[in-house]
Amino acid sequence: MDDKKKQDDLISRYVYAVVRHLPANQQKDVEQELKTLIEDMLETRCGTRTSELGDVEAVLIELGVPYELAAKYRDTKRYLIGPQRFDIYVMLLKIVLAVAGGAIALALMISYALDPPSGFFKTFFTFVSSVGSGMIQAFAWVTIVFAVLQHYEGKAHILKEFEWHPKDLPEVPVTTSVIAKSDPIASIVFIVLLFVCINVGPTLFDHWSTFPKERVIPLFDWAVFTKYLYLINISIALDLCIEIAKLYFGRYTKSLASISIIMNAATVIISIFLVKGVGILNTYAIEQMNTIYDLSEKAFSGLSKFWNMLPNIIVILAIIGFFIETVKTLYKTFWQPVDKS
Amino acid sequence: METIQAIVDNLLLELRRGTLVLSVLSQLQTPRYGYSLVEHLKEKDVEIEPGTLYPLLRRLEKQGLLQSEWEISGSKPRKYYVLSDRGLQVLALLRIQWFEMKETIDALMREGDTDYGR
Repeated sequence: MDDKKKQDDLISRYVYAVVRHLPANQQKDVEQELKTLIEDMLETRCGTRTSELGDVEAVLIELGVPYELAAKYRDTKRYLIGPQRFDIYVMLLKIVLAVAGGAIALALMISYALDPPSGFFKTFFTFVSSVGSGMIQAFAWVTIVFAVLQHYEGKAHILKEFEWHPKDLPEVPVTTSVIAKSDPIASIVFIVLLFVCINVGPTLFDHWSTFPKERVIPLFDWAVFTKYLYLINISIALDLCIEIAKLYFGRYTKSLASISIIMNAATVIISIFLVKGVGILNTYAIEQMNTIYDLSEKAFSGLSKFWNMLPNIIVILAIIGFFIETVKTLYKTFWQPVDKS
Repeated sequence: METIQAIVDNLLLELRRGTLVLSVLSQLQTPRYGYSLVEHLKEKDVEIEPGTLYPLLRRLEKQGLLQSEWEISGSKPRKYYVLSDRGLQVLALLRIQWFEMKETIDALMREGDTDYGR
């Protein structure tokens, strides 16, 4: 390549390095503009003498790093996840990774306990790879959700800034309304473990005994349980949403209170439906227990009575629990400490 | 810690950056292409890097303050920019503001002058 060709090549490479970062509809225009600009700058630099490769290099250095020049043309900062949401992203990511890893590990361990696998190394390898790929999936999903939020809110954000008013500022939270992060995080971990247990190891909930399998008394009516498993999962998901909302708001607010009361009500309705409506509990539990343990007549009738009342007890407990939770939420949302000054 | 000179340079850079749009708009009542504007402003002691001016011109055009046209009859294709009607109005208003601001700041600076002049 002679010197002129080398110069042209260098210019083309520079221009390409800039325009490849730009939207397609601007590329042609900017390319033309930059080429002419570089020629003009070369002419100014060299005057009447012919330009050399060193001149081109100097001009390009003056124009600056291609990526930065492209950024000036774009005039917007681009984020996968913007700084305003990055902290909560990192926090949520840690939780989700820990929970996903832990949940899959637990699920596998339950399945190994119920059905012991053979071959240590193979089992170990599948265990590690399952947990690992689960965590990678969790990472991907959290990131995708945040990236999508960023993509759409990036545009909405500009408008919002103009509408901002000091009266929109949230009050400094009183100590009762602040939610410590550890609280919802612990609940999330518990809820996920519950989800795993319900879906992977329902036998865990059966009457646990050291006797052989045929002597195990199921707690649930198996047919009903499998038919309505999705409802159980929905109510678990609702609980999860409440905890995530708590984490997001960081304090009791009117919106958080309404979200959590509505969702709590929904889960209570679902559990009443399951226990009373479709009878998810195993009606014959006590009879089965009798055939195994040969209960005394007194114990049998007592237990039967209790077992028959159990659905009603659960309903009452659920409703009481719901009211306590609602009162607690309202109290934490609306109660203001007396000003001592 | 930053040296005094570094701090001053930095603040000056910000000051200049704030007046760039004003400088550019004021010189585009006649059509010019990017590099000629760089040179023209340089003659008037306003330094602006082409890498800053070119994207700025595009942005002003997008805002409707400038209009552009490719001139391909010459030896090289050049994009000429000139103030649009909107741009003219904006410049007229900015100009008034500038003179007011200049007097205000001048007054503030003169106050300081008596202290440091001793």
